[in-house]
Formats: sequence, structure tokens, C-alpha cells
Amino acid sequence: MSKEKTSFLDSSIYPVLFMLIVTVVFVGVLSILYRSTEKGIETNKKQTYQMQILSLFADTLAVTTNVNKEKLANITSLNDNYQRFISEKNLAKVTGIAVNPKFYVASAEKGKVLGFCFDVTGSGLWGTMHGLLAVTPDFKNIINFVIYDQMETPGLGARVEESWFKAQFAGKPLIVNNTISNYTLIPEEAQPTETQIKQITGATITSSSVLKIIQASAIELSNDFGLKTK
Amino acid sequence: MTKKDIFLTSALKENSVWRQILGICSSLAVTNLMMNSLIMGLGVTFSLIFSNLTISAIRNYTPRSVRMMVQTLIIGAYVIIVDIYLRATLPDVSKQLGPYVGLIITNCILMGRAEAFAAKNAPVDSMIDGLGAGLGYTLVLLTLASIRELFGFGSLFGIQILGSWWTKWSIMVMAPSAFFLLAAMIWLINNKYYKLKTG
Amino acid sequence: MHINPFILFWAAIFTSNVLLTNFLGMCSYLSVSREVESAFGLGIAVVFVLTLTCALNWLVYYFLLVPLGIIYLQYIIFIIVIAATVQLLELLIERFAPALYYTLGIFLPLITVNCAIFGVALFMIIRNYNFIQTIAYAAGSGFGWMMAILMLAGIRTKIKERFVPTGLQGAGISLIVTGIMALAFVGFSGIVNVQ
Repeated sequence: MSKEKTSFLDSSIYPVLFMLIVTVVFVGVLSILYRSTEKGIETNKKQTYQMQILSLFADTLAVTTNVNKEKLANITSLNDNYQRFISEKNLAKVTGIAVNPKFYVASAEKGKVLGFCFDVTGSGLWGTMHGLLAVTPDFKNIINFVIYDQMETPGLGARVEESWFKAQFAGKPLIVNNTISNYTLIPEEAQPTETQIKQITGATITSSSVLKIIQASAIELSNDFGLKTK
Repeated sequence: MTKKDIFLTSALKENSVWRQILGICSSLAVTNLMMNSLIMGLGVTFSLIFSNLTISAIRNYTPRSVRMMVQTLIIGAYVIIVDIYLRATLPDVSKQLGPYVGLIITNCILMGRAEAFAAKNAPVDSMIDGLGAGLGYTLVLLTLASIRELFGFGSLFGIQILGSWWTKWSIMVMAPSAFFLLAAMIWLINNKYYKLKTG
Repeated sequence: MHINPFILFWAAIFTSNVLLTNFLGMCSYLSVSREVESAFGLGIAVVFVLTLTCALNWLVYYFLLVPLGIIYLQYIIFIIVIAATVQLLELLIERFAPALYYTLGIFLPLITVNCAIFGVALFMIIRNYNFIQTIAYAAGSGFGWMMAILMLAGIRTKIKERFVPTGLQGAGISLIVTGIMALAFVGFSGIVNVQ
């Protein structure tokens, strides 16, 4: 009768069984999806990172070697270019936490060192910011700087990734005459001098966090590499 | 109800945001840029369609005692799919949306539609209801974002509309503007709705 | 990172208030803010559940998800932990403190879908807090949320007697008031530089 028919659905085992089956099915689907995209996402991340490092040295490489700048930006020749120009090293001495021990050396053919690239971190407003700081071999100047990972407010702090902001740091002094350069922020519309950086309007904290990262990195680098600084 | 009625009801007449006041959290957080709003809206719509479909399909077998947990599990699974998809194909957008993609799970709209419609109706109807609710939500998001991005950045979808003569309204980029704009929107729509109701 | 947990606690209330800055937990905030008593009840419940579930989720994440390599399931696992904790709490309170249950009881199921709980759990993972920092951050977020809902409840009680245009009654005016509060709270940012 109808009583027996519904007895299984009403039993106390059924809900547990049901949950189990649903869970297994969905978790299974998710696992398959995840595993199939996992490698792609990892490769993507690594390629983006390596591309960033290369792009920091793009101008320098174009000048000193005969490599075409467009070729450097090309993803298919990324591996060749990376092998050719960048080598990975580890800091002999680690004195702080702003600079990652693993760093990158950019060199042209015949081993001429064009510069170093350091992975630097510091706290922003919402989370940790990660950047790449490329410096000349004598640490006198910044070749290029980029923030490659941040969680700042979209439209405000997140604008640190915009090209105009990044471009400000190219060629700026880092450690000159044994002194670590001190930067100050000025409004976005003003014209900066050599030690001034145009801040992002409405994102003072994020902008000054970037300056703090560069300063902390400079201090640590001078300690790591035994540079005499006042 | 015809399929068209279901769609129009969930998208406009009983819009999740301005009528039912659900899904406010994300409406405020991602509407500073139109691109983010569009992606978020599409993500929610996708999750809504498929979670409604699945929940409706198994509604006759779902024991009442675990109903909410099953719904949560299914909604969560589809949101994770959206998240994985975004991370694989649009990593920059995924970073910008950050935890707000995960927050789709607790977006009251999904749970609300699942309880109110999918648990009691046929799969195809539920899908349409999900589609309507999702698109209605996306509409609200895009409307808010269009104002916020236009006055806050002078652009729409990243395309510069207002030139550099325009002083950007910082408040439009910050949190509080979303509250005021949403309230204004609700006010306008309520007036129109009341007028229709009494007039 | 090495941020003092005390600073995190205060920052979670003022400079990165979970509701006024991160917009989490709006739905129950808007619906339960009509009276101060119910707002207070819900607020206390949120503080408690937030701290407890964040602690649990932290443990689950670092001792279960990471070792097993199933981080992509974190959304589902977190929400199940939250739902289960709330369910368990409800049973315990009903059993051992029935008076408390009758005051708070109806709010507990509401908390499961409070995006603030889930959101704070996600944020603590993204910001790499250690266990003590997580407790401080979660407790602070809870109190920040409670403070926000109490303020709105107080204000709504006051404006009940005043004129509010028909179209704005209820959700509309609450949103405007919250917007003004959020603006005011922007003034706190910069007191503490925290992540």
C-alpha cells in the first residue's frame, strides 16, 4: 500500500544517503574540473611572471642587444628570451622580509650584467602587495618597477598597476652617493621632480605603501649586498 | 504562468534587488566599474540558472530535513565552477573580483530563488526564473555601475567618455555612493510602481 | 604578516568595518534593524558565531584543506562548517539555556546566510592571518557589525515619527542612513594602516 511505498523515502537513512550521493557527485565534478584546469592556471601564472620580468628590462635589452622589442613581448618566444637573458639566483645574505631571497639577473650576450630584478613585498591598504624592482648593477638607479599583485580598491588603490604610475619609477635614483633616495608624494596633476612621485588621487595610503616598499627594499638590499649607506 | 510571465516577474516585477531587497552586498561592492558588474552579473545568472535547474530536478527526492544543506551544496558547487572558469580564462578580472565571487554563494538571491521557486516548480520553469532573476540583478548592477563609473572615472566599460576636463568624483568610486544611488533607484522605482498600483 | 591582534581588532571595527567598508551582511542588517532590542540580540549572536566559525574554519583550512590539496573546495567546506556550527549552537542553546533561546533563537538560522560570516572567513585566508590574528579580526568584525546594526536601529527608531517619503520608507531610507554612516567611517581610515 502507499505506506510501504513511501517508507524508504521517509526512513532516517535516506537523508544521509541522499546527502552523501549529492556530495560525492558534485565534489567529483568539481575535482575533475579543477584538475583539468590546474596545470593551465599554473603555467599561465608562471608565464605572466616571467613576462613581467622580461618587460622590465625591455628598453635596456633593446638598446644593448639586437633583440626586437616586439619580440620580447611575444609570448611564443618567451621561453627562448627568458633563457637567453635572465638567470635566477639566491641572495647570499638575507637581512629582512621585504626582498625575496630569489632574484633575477638580466644579462646580455657575453655575460654583461644589465641589472638585477628583485621580488619585493609590503603591506598595502587591504592586503600584501607584491612587486618587481629592477635596478642597475650598481644599485644607483631603478630601471623599472611594477606591482604585479595587489588587492587594493578597484578604481582607487588598484590603479598602481596603471602604466602612468609604473612609468614614474623608471630611471629614478635608488642609492646614490651612499644615500638611499627619499621619495615624497605629490598630487596627480602636479609635475614631479626627481624625488617626487605623483600619487593616485583618493588612494594616499596605497601610494605611500608603494613608496614604503621601495624604501624598505633599498635598505635591505644595501644590507644584503654590503653597500655602505648613511 | 507562461514562460514569458515567469521571466518578466523574476526580472522586473519581483526584481530581487529593488523589490525583494536581496543581493545588496555585491550590488554595492562591485558596481564601481561596469566590467566588474557585468562579469559578476553573468556569474550570478549562470549560478542561478543551473542551481535552480538542479534543485528543481531533485526536488521530489530531497528530504525536508536536509533541504537547506543540499541547496547550499549545489549553489556552492556552481559558484566554484564560475570561480575556476574565471581563474582559468580571465585571471585579471578574477583578481579584481576577489572574494566577491565566492560571496555569490551567500548572495541571498540564490537561496531566495531556490526556496521560493525552484523547490516547488518544474525544472525548465525554474531555469527561466533563475535566468530572469539573474538578468534583473545584472540590470540593477549595470545601472548603478554606469553612474558610478561615468562620474567617478569618466568612462564606461573602460572607454573614456568624458575627457580630462572632468574632475572625477571620488565619492563615486568609494563605498558610500553605492548606498545613495541604490536608495535613489529604489525610490524612483517605488514611485513608479505605486503610481501604477493606485493609478 | 605581523600585525598586532589588538590593532586588527580595532581596525575591524572602525577602519575596515565589515559592513560599512566591505558591504557584508547587508540583508539581515536591513531587515532586523527596526528595533534596538532585536538588533542587539542579532548582533551578539553574530559576534559569537563569527568568532567561533572563523576559528573553526581556520583550523579546517590549514589542517585539512591545505594538506589534502583541496583548497578549491573551501567555499563549500566553509559554508558547511558555518551551517553545522549554527545548527549545533541552536540545539545546545535550546537544550541548556531555553530562556536565551527564546530571545535569540529565531536569529540563529538567519545567521547562516549572513554573508558577513562567510566573507570574513574568506578574507582571513586571503590576508594570511595566523590563528590569534584571525580571532581578533573575527571578534572585531562581529563587534563592528553589531555596532553598525545598533546604530541603524537607533536611528530608525528616531525617524519612525518623522516624515519619510513613501517611496523611501523601509529599505530606501535605511540605505541612505547607512551611506551617511559609511561616509562618516571613511574619516577613520588612516588611523591605522592595516591589511
